Amino acid sequence: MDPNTVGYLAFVILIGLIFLGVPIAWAITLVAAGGLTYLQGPGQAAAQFYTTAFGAGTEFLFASIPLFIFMGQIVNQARIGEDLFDALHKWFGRLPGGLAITAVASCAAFGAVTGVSSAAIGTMGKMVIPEMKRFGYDMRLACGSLATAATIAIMIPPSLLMVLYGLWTETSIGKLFIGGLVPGILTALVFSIYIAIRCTINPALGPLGQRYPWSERFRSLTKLLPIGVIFSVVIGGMYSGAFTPGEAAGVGAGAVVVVGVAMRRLSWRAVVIAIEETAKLSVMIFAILVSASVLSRFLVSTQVTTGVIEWIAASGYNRYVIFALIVLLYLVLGCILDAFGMILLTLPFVFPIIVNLGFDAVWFGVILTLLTEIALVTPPVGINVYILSRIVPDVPMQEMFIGALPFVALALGIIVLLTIFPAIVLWLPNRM
Amino acid sequence: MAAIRQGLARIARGLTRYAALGLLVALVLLIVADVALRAIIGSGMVWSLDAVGLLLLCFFVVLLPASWLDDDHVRMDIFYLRASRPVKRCADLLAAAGALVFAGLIGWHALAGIPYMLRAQVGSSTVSIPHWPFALLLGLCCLMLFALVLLGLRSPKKEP
Repeated sequence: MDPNTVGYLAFVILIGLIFLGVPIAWAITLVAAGGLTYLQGPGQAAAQFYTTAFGAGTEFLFASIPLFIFMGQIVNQARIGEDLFDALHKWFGRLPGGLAITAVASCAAFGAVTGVSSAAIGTMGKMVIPEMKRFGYDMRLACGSLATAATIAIMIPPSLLMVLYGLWTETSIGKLFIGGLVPGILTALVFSIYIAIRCTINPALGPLGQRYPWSERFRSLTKLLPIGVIFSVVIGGMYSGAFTPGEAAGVGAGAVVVVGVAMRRLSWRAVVIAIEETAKLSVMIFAILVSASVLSRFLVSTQVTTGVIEWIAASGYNRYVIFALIVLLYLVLGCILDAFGMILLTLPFVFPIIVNLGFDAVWFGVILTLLTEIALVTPPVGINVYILSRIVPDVPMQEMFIGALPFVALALGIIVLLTIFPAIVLWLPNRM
Repeated sequence: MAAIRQGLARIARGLTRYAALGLLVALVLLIVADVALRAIIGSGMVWSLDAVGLLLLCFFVVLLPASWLDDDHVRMDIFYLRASRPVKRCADLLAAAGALVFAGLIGWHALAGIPYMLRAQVGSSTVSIPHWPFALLLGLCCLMLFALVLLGLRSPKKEP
C-alpha cells in the first residue's frame, strides 16, 4: 500500500475507533503507532512517541496548561464567583431579565480568572438558578442563558483552549488572549441585550429584580477587587511584556492562592482538591497532545494533509465557502466530541488548510474558541447542559437545549460578524 | 496477580496525590521566584527554564498510571453508553491496546536510551542537569501504566 492510501485508511479507522467509544488519546495512539510502524518500523514509532512525550513534557510553555487549570480550580474553591455574582447583581438585577444578565456578566468576569467553562457553570449554576426560581423566571430561558453564558469564560483570557491552540499551532498565546478579549465582551453584551429585549417584550420570562441604593452598589464594587487584581497581574503582565504566557500562568496561580489565603477561604483540603482536579485534566490533555503530535507527523509522512490542501486549492472554491464548510464541520463535531478532543484531533488537518487559504492564525484561534463555546451547549454532548442538569435535576435537559438555541444562533451571528470584520479580533493583538 | 495490581494501584494513586502536589507547588514557586527576581534585581535564574521543564515532565509522567485506573481519558460516549456489552468490551479492549502501545513504546524507548544518555552525558542546555533520571522516571511510570493495563484486562472497566 502506498503511504497516501495508508494515511486515508488511518483516518477512517480513527473515526471508527472514536465512534466506538475508545478514549481519544488511545484511539489516536493506535492509529499513529500502527501507521508509523507500517511505514517506518516499530523503532521509529517508539522514537517518535518518546521524543514527543519528552519534548512536550519539558516545554516551558506547556506549564501554562496545568497552571491555568490550577488557577481556575483555586478560584472555584475560594468561592470568588459568589462575590462576583453578588456585586454584579446589585448593578444589573433591576433590569428586565436582570438575574440572567447578571449571570452572563458574572460568567464573563469569572472567565477573567479561570480558563474553563465547567468551573463557571458549576459555580454560577448553584447560585443563580435558585434565585431565578424564586423570582419565577422561565426555566427554559434561565437554563439556556446560564449554560451558554458559562461558555464565555473560555473566550475571556486566560483561556485553556487558546493555550492549547497556541501550543499546537505555534501561534502567540499572548496575542490569542488579547484577541479573545473584545469578542468575549461582545458576546456577553449581545447575550445581555437579547435577554433584556425578550424580557421587556414578555416580562413573565424574567421579572424585574430588587432595586439597590447607589451607596450599596458602589460598596459592592470592593468585592470585584480580587478578580481585578488577578486579571491585571496575569493579562497586564503579558500585555506589557513583563512575562511570558507560561510565567503568567505560574504568577496567576500564585496570586490566586495568595488572594484565597488572604480572604481566609482556602483550606489545605481545598488546595488538595484543586490539585487533584488539575491532575486529572492535565494528564488527559498531555496524553492527547502527545498522541496527536505523533499523528500529525505520521500524516505529514503520508502526505495526506498536503494532498487535501492541494485538492482544495485546485477546486477553485472561494476561501469563505471552504471556511463555512470548516465551521459546519466543527458544529457537527461539537455535537459529538469534547472540546479538547475536537481541537486537538482536527488541528493537524484544519490548521494547514486555514493558513493556506490566507486566514490569520490568531483570528482563527478566536473563531475556533467561539465554535467550541457552541459545542458546549449543543446536543447530545453539550457538557455545560449536563453539568447544569445535575444542579437543576427538575428541568428536563431537552428544555435546556431548546433554551440554549437562541444563544447558539447569536454566537453564530458573532462568527459571521468577526469574519466580515476581522479587525474586531486583530486590532488589539496587532498593537502588542 | 490481584495483590500486585492492588499494590501498583496504591503506588499510582500515591504518586498522583503526593508527587503531583509537591511538583505543582514547586512549579508555581519556581516561576514566581524567577519573575520576582527579574523584577527586583533585573536578572532571573538562568537554570529555572530547564528546571521548570523537567519538573513539568515529572508532573505529567507521575499522573499517567492513575489516569488509567480512574478512567480520566475523555471519550465520545454517546454510542458507547448505549452499546451492547460485547461492543463495550470491544471498545475497552481497544482502549487497553492503545494504552499498552502508548506506555510500551515510550517506556521501552526511555529505558533503552538510558545507557546512551549516561555515556554521552545528555543533559539540559543551560545548566548540566542530567536527563537520564527523568528518562528513568518516564520509563518506570510507563512500565507501571503498562502493568496496570495488562493486569486489569480481565476485569471490566468502570463506566464513564
